[in-house]
Amino acid sequence: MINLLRSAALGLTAMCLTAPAQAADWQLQLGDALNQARAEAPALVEQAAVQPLVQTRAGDLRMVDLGSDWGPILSAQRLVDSREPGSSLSSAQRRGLASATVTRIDRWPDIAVGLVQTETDPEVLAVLLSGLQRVDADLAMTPLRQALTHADAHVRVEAAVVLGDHVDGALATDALLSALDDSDADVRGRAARSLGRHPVATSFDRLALHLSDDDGAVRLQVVRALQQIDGPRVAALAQLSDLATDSDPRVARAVAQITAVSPTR
Amino acid sequence: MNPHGPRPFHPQVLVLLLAPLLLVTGCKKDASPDALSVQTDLGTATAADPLDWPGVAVIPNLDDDDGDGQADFDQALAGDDAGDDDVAEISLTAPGGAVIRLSGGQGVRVWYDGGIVLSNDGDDITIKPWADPLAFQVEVGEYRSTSTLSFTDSATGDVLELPITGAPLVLNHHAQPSELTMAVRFSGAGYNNTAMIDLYEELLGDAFLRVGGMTYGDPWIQDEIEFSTATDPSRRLDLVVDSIRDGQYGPGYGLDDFPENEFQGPGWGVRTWGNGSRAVSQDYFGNMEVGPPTTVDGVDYPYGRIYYGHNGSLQPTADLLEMLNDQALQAPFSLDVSWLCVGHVDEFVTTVPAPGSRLGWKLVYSDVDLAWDIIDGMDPAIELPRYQATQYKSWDTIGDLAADDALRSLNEELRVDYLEPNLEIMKTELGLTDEDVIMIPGLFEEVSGCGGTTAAAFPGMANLIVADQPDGTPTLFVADPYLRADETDVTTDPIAMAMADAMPEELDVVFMDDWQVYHLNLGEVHCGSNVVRTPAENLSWWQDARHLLETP
Repeated sequence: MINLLRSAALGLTAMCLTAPAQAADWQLQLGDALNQARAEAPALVEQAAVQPLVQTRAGDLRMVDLGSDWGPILSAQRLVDSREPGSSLSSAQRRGLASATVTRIDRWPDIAVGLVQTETDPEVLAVLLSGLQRVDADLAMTPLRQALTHADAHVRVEAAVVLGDHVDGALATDALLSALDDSDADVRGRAARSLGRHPVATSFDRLALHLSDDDGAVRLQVVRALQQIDGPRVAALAQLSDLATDSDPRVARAVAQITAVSPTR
Repeated sequence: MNPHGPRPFHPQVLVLLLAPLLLVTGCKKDASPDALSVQTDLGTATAADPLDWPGVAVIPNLDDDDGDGQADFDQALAGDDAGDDDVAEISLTAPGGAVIRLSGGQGVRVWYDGGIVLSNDGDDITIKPWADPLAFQVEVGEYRSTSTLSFTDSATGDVLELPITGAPLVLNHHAQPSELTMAVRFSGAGYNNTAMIDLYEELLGDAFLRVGGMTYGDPWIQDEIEFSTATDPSRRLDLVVDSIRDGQYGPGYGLDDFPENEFQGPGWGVRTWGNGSRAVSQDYFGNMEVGPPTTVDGVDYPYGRIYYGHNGSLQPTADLLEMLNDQALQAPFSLDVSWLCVGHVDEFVTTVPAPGSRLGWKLVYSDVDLAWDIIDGMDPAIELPRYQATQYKSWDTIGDLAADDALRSLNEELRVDYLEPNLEIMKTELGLTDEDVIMIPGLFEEVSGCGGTTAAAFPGMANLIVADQPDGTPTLFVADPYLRADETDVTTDPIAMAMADAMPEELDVVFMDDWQVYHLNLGEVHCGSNVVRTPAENLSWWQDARHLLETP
C-alpha cells in the first residue's frame, strides 16, 4: 500500500515537473546554444543583436540573413528578449525575427516547440508555427493541434498549413476534419488541402459535405482532397454535376478534369 | 511661373491684339470666298475637305518645364514660357474672316500671341478678314481628351469642324529599346547588392542609374513606378505613373519622392491614380506588365496588352484601371495571383525580345515540372553552399531538395490550379501559340506566416530585366539560382543553363547575384530594377491604333 502511494505520489510529481521542466528545458537549451555560439562566433553574436530588419516585397519585415548555422538561435534569442517588458520592438519587427528563426530551428526541436508554446502575439505565433514542420511528431503535434483551435484565424490557417506539410500530419486528421467547420474560409480551405496531403479513407464523407461550401477556394481544395483520397469515388458523386458549372472557374476546371477521366464501368 | 496666373480672356484684349489686322482690313489681299483653311501636323483642312479624327493630335501638357513641381497645364504655362513646346501649332488662313468656337472644351486651351483666347465650352472669337496665316497653339491637359474647334467662314458661312484629340498614355513593353535602367544600391557589410549594381554599371555604363539606398532605403523600385509615354506627330511626353504604394505609409516614405526628385521636369511628368491609404500588394507595379504587340482574334494591338494580377477581389486600384481602360490601346486583362505571398505577375511570367520570331518576342513562363526534371537528374550529393549558409532555406544538397515531398506536392498543386490556367489565359489574351512560349525551370515554396501562399523557392529567373547594352545588344539580366556547388561558375548550374539555352540566340543572358537584398526578401532582379524605354519607332497611334481609339 505504501509503495502504491509512493508510486502515485511520484507519478503526480512527475506530471507536475514535466510541464515546468519542459518549459525550462527549451530555455536552457537556448542558453546553451547561445553560449556555444558565443564561443565559436563571438562577432556574429554581437552582430545578431543589432542585425537590421528590412522590408520584404510583401511589405512586412525580415531580419537580414546572418548567413550562419547559428542564425536561428541568434534570432530566437533576440525574439525571446523582445518579450521582456520595456522592449521597443513592434509586432511587425518581432514577426521579422520569427521569420529568421523558423526555417532551420528544427535542429533544436525543443526550442522550436517552446517558442510556439510561449508566444502570446498571434501574428508572431503564426510565423513560428512553420518551425514545427520538420520537428518530430511527438513534440510537434500537440502545439499544432492546439494552434488549430486558436482564437486568431491567422494562427489557425498556419497550423492547418503546417499539418499538411508535416510528414506525420495524418496524426491530426481528426483535428483537421473539425477545422472544416471553422468560421474562416482560409482555415477551412487549408484544412481540406492538408487532408488531401495525408489521404485517409475515413475522411472522405466528412470532406464531401463541404463540396457545398460558400467559398470557391474551399470547394476547390475539397475536390482536390477527395481526389487524393478516392478518385473513382469522387467521379461518382452526385454533387459533381453541379460543380461542373461552379461559379469559381478553378472548381469547374478541377471537376472537368475529374470527369474527363472516369472509370470504365 | 506667371505669378499673376493665366492671362484672362477679355474680348477687348482680343480686339487690341488683332488691331493691326483691323487697321489693314481695307488693304487685304484678294481671297477666294472658300479659302478658309487650317494647317496642322497631320495635314491641311478646309470646309470642303476636313481632317478626320484625330484632327489635331497633341500630347497633354503634363510635364514640368519650369521645374516648380507642378504640371504645366495646371499653371496655364504654355503661353508664358517660350520654352514650353508641349502644344500643337495650327495655322489659320481666313481671308474672309472667321468665327472660331470651342466645343467640349474642358481641359483644352487655345493660345494666340501668348494669351489664352479659348478655354471653355462655347467660347468663341471673331477673326477679321486676313490673308496671311495666323498661328494658334492648342494645349490639352488630359490623355484622350476630345474637343472640337469650329471655324465658320465669315464670308461664305461654311463651317470647318476640327477635332482636337489628346494623345493616349502608353505603358512600355520589353520589346522596346531601353534608354535607362535603374536600381537602388545598398552597400552595408552584411546587406548589400554591390555585385548586382557593379554588373549593371559594367554592362550598361551611362545607361544605368544608381539610386541612393541611403536616400530612399527601399529596394523595390519596380513596384513604385511605371514608365509611360505619349506621342503626337511632333512631340513626346514621358510620364511616371507613381503608384499609391508608398503613400499608404505617408508622404515621403521610401521611394515616394523618387520620381519627383529624379524625373519631373522638362519632358517629364509624374502622376498618381488612386488613394494611397488603400494600397494593397496588387497595386505595386511588379503586378502590372505589358505584353508586346500582337493580334488577338483579328484585332491588332500595336502597343501590346497590359496584364496584371488579382487576388480574389484585390487588384490594382479602380482609378488606375479605369484610366488604363479609357486609353483603349492596351486592353488590360488579369491573372490569378492568389497563390503568391507577394502576389505579382512578374513572379512567374515575362516577355523577351525574339528577333526573327513570328511576333518578334516570346513569352517566358515558369515550369515546375521542368525544374524537377533537371533537379532529379542532378547528383543528389551536390552541395549547395549558398543555401547552406542562409537561415531562410532548408536544403543543404540537391538531394535534400529532391527529397522535399511537401515541396513537390505544393508545386504540383500550383501547376494544376494556377500556373497552367494562367498560361492558358496569357495565350488566349495575347494570341499566342505554343511556339511563342519558352518554358523555364521554376519552383515555389510556402512563405512562413503567409497563409500557405508562396514565393520563388530558388531565385526566380522569370523575374528578369530586359535592357540594351551600349552596342545595342538586348540583354537579359536574370537572378542566379545558385543550385550548384561552385558559386563562381554559373555554367556548372543546370537550372541556370537550361534557362540561358532556351533564350533567343540574339540575346545575351547575364546572371546576377540578387540573393541578399532581393531573393531572401521575396523579390528578384525585376522587382529591384526599372527601365525607361523609347517609344516604338514608326508607330503612330492615330494611324496604327485608329481601330482601337476612334469612337464610331
